[in-house]
Amino acid sequence: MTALNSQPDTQDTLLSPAFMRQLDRLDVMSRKMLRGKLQGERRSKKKGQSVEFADYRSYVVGDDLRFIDWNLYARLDKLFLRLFMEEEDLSVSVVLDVTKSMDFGEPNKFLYAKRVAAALGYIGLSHYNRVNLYTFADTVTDMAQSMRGRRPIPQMLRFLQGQQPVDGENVSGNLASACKRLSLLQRQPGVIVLLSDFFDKGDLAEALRYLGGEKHDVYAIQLLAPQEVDPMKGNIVGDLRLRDIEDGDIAEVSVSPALIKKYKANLQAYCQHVREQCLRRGAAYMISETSVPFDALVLKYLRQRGLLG
Amino acid sequence: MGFLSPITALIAAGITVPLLVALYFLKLRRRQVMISSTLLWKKAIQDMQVNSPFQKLRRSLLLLLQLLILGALLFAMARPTMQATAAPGQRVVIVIDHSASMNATDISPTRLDEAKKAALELIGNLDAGGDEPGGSSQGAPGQGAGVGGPSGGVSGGASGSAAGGAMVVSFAQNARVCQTFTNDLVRLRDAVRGIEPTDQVSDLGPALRLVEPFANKAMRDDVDSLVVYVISDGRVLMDGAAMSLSGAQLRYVPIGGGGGAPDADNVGIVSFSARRDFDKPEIVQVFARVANFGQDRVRANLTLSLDGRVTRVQPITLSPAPVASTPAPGSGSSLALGADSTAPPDAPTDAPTDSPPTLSPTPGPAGSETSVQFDFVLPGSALVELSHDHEDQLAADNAARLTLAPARRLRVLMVTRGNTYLDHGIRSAGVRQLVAMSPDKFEDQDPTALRRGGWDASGASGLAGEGFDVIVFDGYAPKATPLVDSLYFGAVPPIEGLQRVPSREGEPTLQRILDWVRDHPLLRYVVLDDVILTEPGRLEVPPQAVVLMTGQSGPLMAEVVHEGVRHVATSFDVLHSNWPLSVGFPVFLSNTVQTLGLGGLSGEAGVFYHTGEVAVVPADAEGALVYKGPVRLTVNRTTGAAVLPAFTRAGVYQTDAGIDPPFDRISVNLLDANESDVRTADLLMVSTVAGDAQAQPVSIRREVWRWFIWGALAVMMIEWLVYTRRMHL
Repeated sequence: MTALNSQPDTQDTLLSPAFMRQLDRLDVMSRKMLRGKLQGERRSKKKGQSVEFADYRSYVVGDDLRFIDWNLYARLDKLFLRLFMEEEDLSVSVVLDVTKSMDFGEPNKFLYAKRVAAALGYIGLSHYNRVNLYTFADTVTDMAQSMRGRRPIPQMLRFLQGQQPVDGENVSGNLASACKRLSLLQRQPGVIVLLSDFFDKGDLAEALRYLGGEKHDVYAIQLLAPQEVDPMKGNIVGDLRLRDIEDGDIAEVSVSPALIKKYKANLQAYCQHVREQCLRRGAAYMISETSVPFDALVLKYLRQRGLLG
Repeated sequence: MGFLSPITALIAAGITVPLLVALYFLKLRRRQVMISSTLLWKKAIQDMQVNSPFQKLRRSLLLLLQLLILGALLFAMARPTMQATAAPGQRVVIVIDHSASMNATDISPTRLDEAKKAALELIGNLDAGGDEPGGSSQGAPGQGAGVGGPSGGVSGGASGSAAGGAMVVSFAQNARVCQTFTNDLVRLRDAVRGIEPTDQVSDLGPALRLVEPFANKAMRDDVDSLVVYVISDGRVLMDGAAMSLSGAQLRYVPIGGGGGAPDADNVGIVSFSARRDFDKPEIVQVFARVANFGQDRVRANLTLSLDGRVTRVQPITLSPAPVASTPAPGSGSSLALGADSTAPPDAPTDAPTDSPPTLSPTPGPAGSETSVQFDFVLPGSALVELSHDHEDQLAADNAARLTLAPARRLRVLMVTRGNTYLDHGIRSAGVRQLVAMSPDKFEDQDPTALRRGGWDASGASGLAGEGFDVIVFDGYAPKATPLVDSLYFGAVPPIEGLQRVPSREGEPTLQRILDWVRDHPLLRYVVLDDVILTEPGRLEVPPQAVVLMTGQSGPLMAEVVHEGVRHVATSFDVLHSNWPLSVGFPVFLSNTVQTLGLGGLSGEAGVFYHTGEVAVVPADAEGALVYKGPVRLTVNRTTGAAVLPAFTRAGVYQTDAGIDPPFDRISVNLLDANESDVRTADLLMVSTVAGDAQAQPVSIRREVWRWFIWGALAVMMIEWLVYTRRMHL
């Protein structure tokens, strides 16, 4: 059946060494020039202290005398200050949905999402970006912030391995609440990758509103299990009592061809709705079935969509 | 519709229906399946309910089907009954006419099929009340309800069953028991379905004679009547023999001519013959009578063809047949039979029950007819066919055929030690050649060589073949039975049971002939009043012999057919009588030579058989003989002859087994005005009472619970299909 418990993951389960080598060639790309916190490898709007010349400006009292262009002073008898390009780091936040609804399908959506998160985290750390990992259910449930450099890679992987779907009668997904909390936690501008199935019974527009704006470059990746796309693969036939794995909600159905057709139409419409909301808030939207090979998703689709480069 | 056990069914309904509904709701323990989110499913359900106004009904379709199944079973438990027409008697005889007129197509496909359908319907009704008390029947008190009814019925039938049962008899020219009394409806139905169409005439007498013993037994046992259903178009003959059907009720089920059926439309050839001119045998005259039995004036063309080549076409016009006049019917539905008949409950009260026990043929006016004659020159043999082109309802009489014999005269062998009277008498019969032979020389001959070969195809008069057409033995009995038709004077052939007994002492020496068969072909126009015989002796004849002449001591002349060869034996010597001196002697010899030598050709030049007749075919070789024609005939050839079974269908039967003409092509015709008259008789005349053709249905209650069981099974299949369709998308 579709509700599978996540297997105890190992570091190799999430990312194999061979795959890591392939990831070394990639970097997280941002569609916006975001302000960093520390000096890094990414060009900033600010003028700073890199070796790449940017411009001149007139000297004002208090400027660092080391940046005065003395050759120019000799020719023009005026003091000009040499400006250089600033290179800052990039904040990459991977937000993982750990609601029970993710623990579904074959291949399992939760495991799939953890592997995507691990890959993105590995890429971010490999290129000295500041990587933050968040998990959420009804709100942000766990986090690993401000990891930078290759040293915290094992820490990042252990964090992900330790994540389990939130189980509990009173815990159900609330994307709006989680995003609100996330916006408070993640004040530093950066790339936010949202990994979820977006089966949220709340207001999706409100949720994305917290992450929108120029501050963040948001990527929403919707993961669906094959059994959700085609219920026939999940043996959804006959008179059934469908129980929501997340909140225990019950739906009694007598499955018929017409109902299956209607369900598929609704799924398509819902995905379209998620996409429109994302675009409205300036977020990039991607959808993938877990039947798509994981490495193909990372190495091909995410590159095509500009998240990785 | 009524119910025999309504209370039981109501009680069962009170228990089972709420139980089913309760079970249905309990049954709603759906299989639980965990899914990631009910978000989309609930929306889909809402959409479905909005878009499908009958969603609730659809959801409970299985419940509705199950309620339907339960309802059908409860109906069956209530034992519903319906009014049905069935036999009131405990024994039923179904007599089905399968004669030529039953092949009429005024009812699609044929009347015979309609008759079978009616018979099957009767059989289907026979099971009514088989297990119900007699009192529940609405029929006459004490009358059981057909097959399988309570005991007390006629015991000891042909099948020896204890009570009840039905029997199926088919009849055309002869009657045949297709199925003896049985309660097995399957066998009865198979018997009915197995009845084949024929082109024979129909004679109800033999069929009723088959029923007669059962009717008499029913009468003796003083039990309920035997019911005889005669399913026919009424175009039947009665052979006039008396019979007693005292214990039987006769019911006539008319086929054809009812409401909705088209008017009778048939033009038939009812008579057909050919003759050669006595002086110029190559001149052939063909005579035919064509009759119209329809209600409209008919214009048609008669076509005469020789060996398939059309030689003459003659237009004819036939006026409509006169309107049938029916005798005054009796008011009852049954026909009283015989003086001691027991009138059935619904028999006419004014029926003359003391009427003599005779059967009279069905009356009916003949159709409008015309006679035609064709003259042509043909010395040889040919297949002559006459047909008309009018599209009518009966095909069997639309054409008639005969095999025209070539002109020829006879060769006669006389085995004698000398007899001038015979010699002159035979020569005066117009034979081509008369050969006299002594007995010793005769015995030296090869018997098969004495038999004459076939016809001379060239038609040359008198030049064909060796052998003889007739052998006349004068006072000599051959050691072996000849293979040629023979006449014996003072001797008999060595046939078992046939013996000549000399006159004994004490018997009168001079005797007269007391009686003779005046209308026999051999004795036609022969007067024997003044013939005196000296010590004539007498004949001891086998059962199959026909005694033609009887004297004071016993049979004097008899005809015996042995292995297809006719032998006419006389016990006296013509020289010991004054018969040769009387005019009747040469007349007798002429009759005998022509009849024995030419057989069916003695009076005509063409050979054909009527349907129902038996043909004896001379055949030298042994083994199976196969004729192909309307039906395939296969017979075993015995010594010198093969006896074909009675012809059932009209047409031309041919064989390629090397049979000499004319028997290589045998023409079989219907030629019966009564059968060609396809107008259905409203009345069937039996004895002196006419019964109404519309038999009054006897009301009984027929249980129909089986229908509901079958209905429940059918709905169960549908329910299963609906269920599996839901389970396997």
